[in-house]
Amino acid sequence: MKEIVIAFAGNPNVGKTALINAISGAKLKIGNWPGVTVEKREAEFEFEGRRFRLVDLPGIYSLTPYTIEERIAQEFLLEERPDVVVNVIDVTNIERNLYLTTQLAELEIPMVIALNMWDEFKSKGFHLDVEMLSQILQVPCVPTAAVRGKGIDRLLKEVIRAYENHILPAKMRFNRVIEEKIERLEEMLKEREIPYPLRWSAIKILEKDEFFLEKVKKFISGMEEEIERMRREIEDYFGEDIETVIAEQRYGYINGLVREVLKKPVERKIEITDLIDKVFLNRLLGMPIFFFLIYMMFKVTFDGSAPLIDWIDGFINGFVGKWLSIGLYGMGAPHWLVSLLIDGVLSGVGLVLSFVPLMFFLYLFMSILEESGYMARAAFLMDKIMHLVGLHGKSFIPMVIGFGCNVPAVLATRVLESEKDRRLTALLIPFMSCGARLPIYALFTGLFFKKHQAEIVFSLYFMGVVVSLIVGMILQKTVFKGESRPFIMELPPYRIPTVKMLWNSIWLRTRSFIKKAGTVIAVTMVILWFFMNIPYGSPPEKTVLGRVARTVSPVFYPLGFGKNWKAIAALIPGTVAKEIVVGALGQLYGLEEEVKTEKADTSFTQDLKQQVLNLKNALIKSLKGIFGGFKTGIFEVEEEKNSALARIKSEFTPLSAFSYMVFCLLWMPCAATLGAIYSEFGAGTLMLSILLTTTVPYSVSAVIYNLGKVMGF
Amino acid sequence: MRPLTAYSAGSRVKVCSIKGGRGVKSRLESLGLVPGAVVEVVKPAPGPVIVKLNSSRIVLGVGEAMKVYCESAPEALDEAV
Repeated sequence: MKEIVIAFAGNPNVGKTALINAISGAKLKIGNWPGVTVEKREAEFEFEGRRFRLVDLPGIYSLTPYTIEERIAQEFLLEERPDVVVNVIDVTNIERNLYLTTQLAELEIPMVIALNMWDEFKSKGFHLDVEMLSQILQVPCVPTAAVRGKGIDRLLKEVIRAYENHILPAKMRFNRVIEEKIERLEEMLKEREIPYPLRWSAIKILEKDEFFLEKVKKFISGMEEEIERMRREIEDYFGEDIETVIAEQRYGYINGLVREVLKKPVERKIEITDLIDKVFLNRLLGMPIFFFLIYMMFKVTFDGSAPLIDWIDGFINGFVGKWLSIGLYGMGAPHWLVSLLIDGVLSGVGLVLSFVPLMFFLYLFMSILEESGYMARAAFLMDKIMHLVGLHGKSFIPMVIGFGCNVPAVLATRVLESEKDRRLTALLIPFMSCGARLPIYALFTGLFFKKHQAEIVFSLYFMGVVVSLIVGMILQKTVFKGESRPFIMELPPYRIPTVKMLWNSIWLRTRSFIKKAGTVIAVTMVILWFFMNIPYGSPPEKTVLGRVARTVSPVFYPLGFGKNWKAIAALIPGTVAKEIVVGALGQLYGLEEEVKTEKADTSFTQDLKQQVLNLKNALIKSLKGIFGGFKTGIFEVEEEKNSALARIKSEFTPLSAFSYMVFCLLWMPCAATLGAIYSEFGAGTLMLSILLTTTVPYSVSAVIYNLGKVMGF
Repeated sequence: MRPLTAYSAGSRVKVCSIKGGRGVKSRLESLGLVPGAVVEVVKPAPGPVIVKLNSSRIVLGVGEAMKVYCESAPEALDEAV
């Protein structure tokens, strides 16, 4: 059975990904800020006995070669020649969207147009002659509303029809002065047997598309002078450079076309997006609103998740742990095995898992920011500040994504046009406090800063941003000299994110967090347990890990926590994934606990009932925390029950705890982030990143600790 | 003919020419900012400029906005499209 490959091409934010989701039923991520689709995303499915592969091309405005996205799209369309292209158009902005359509048509691939956002378009009072549009373009056009799943069946039918009948779109004609040259060039290219569509190639060569010229270099050798003469003739005739002439001609054609098919509403209504922007982008209000939103995001994240975190902690340690150890001893398991499973794996993984509600809330807010369209506004607001480091506002988007997770943030640097901006931004991303660092703050602020938890955590995030700006400024003056690239960005209209959209996005991220806890973290915990228990039975400081940590600990004296070798030991596995620091601390400090032989004083069902009841209470408390105004919630860390926490508390002072949190914030990102930096930018940038994320945390923590000591904390 | 940075909020202007390198030009062109396009200044300089073109809103950094030369567009031109 032959697979039918369908490429989805269109501008950013037109709902391409939502459309693919609707067609295939797959769970792909959908977003609303410029360029969320940076990876190649695919979905496979079967329909009426045929196999389909849907390829989600990055959102692009044209097929020029100036951004990585455009190059990816051009490369895919030219080299892999999909069977059908579905050109997704935001019909509320049809003029701009058709610009890409005129370019796609020249590729000579059967095409279908999805007129997306159709319901929004209708409700605004527009009228479009779909029949006429299809006829002029010779492309089947189907009105769709991807989010509501409307028009999907018809779209799929038209795709199959276009594929079977090999319906090719009409190509627009340029001014005769240009057409002459195109025709002549086409003939020349035909003789050279160029392996790409002739007309497309002729136009691209005339336009001086550097990427394409490089591709066809050997086919056009010897023709360069002739081609240059053609270009000059066109430029002299129009009095503008060739690229502008061709773009102008395309828009001229589009304007004529749109005049034939589109009826705009007589009365122009004030758009809601403009009203919201009046407030959100206001010169005076913009920044305070931005900071307020970010602050609320962390506040609700903390207050809403705290009771649930307590519940999971109690459930895993009090319930699962108890009954598992009873079960294991009952089966005659040796003492060391129970210790490995309960103290090693369960307590470590459990502690990490208990922060799932925190992740959930954080990702919820990140998704709302992305899907609603506010993220692009944040970039606009931050432009001034980003200029300090020689970047512009657009770089701020990957950095905010870094608050969720550094890995997609590094990938999201692809929205930036210049290589210099991309590398600099990627080097600053590790200083953005990702979700995995939050458990560390949660643990320490819960122990030392109960009353000002949200404020302390907020200050850490803020510090990450400040440090990144300072580092950026230094890098810009030394390694990354030169102008930054143009700041040109579209502000998408505000859209209310649907629950389905948010859920897809949150679940995707939370699932990978849970998966990590079950795999990487569990394995690390087992390895850690061995290092902590070899030689078996010796006191903690004599074990392998203890020796290593104690040897390097003097280095950390100036930071205030050098005397706690356990804290340093926890940093070592923390390089695999930051949340492991918490699990490792739990294991290390829990070591001295006597191994209790749990007795079944209550029955299993009694315990289970109690847990369900606790969950109900936790949910109520969580809701109260979210809507309960400005009072900061408190992690009810029950110290008398959890002696590991009590011991952590005794070995740190508030100041050294803060210093430790700052160190964890700025310290080397997880292995996955380093991997992403390596694969995007190569070994040089990776080494630079490692250098930065070791020296910077050390200096900053040292300064904070010593300043704090002088100030009497 | 004045650069885009010279116009105040709410002005309707017609793009006349775009100076500057191919990168900038190509970006602007693919967003619809070609000579002849009529846009409304939503947020003027100082700082990045926001213009509205049909129903899309486009941010231009100060450096880019300086390169877009425009002239005032009478209201009537708007309905021509």
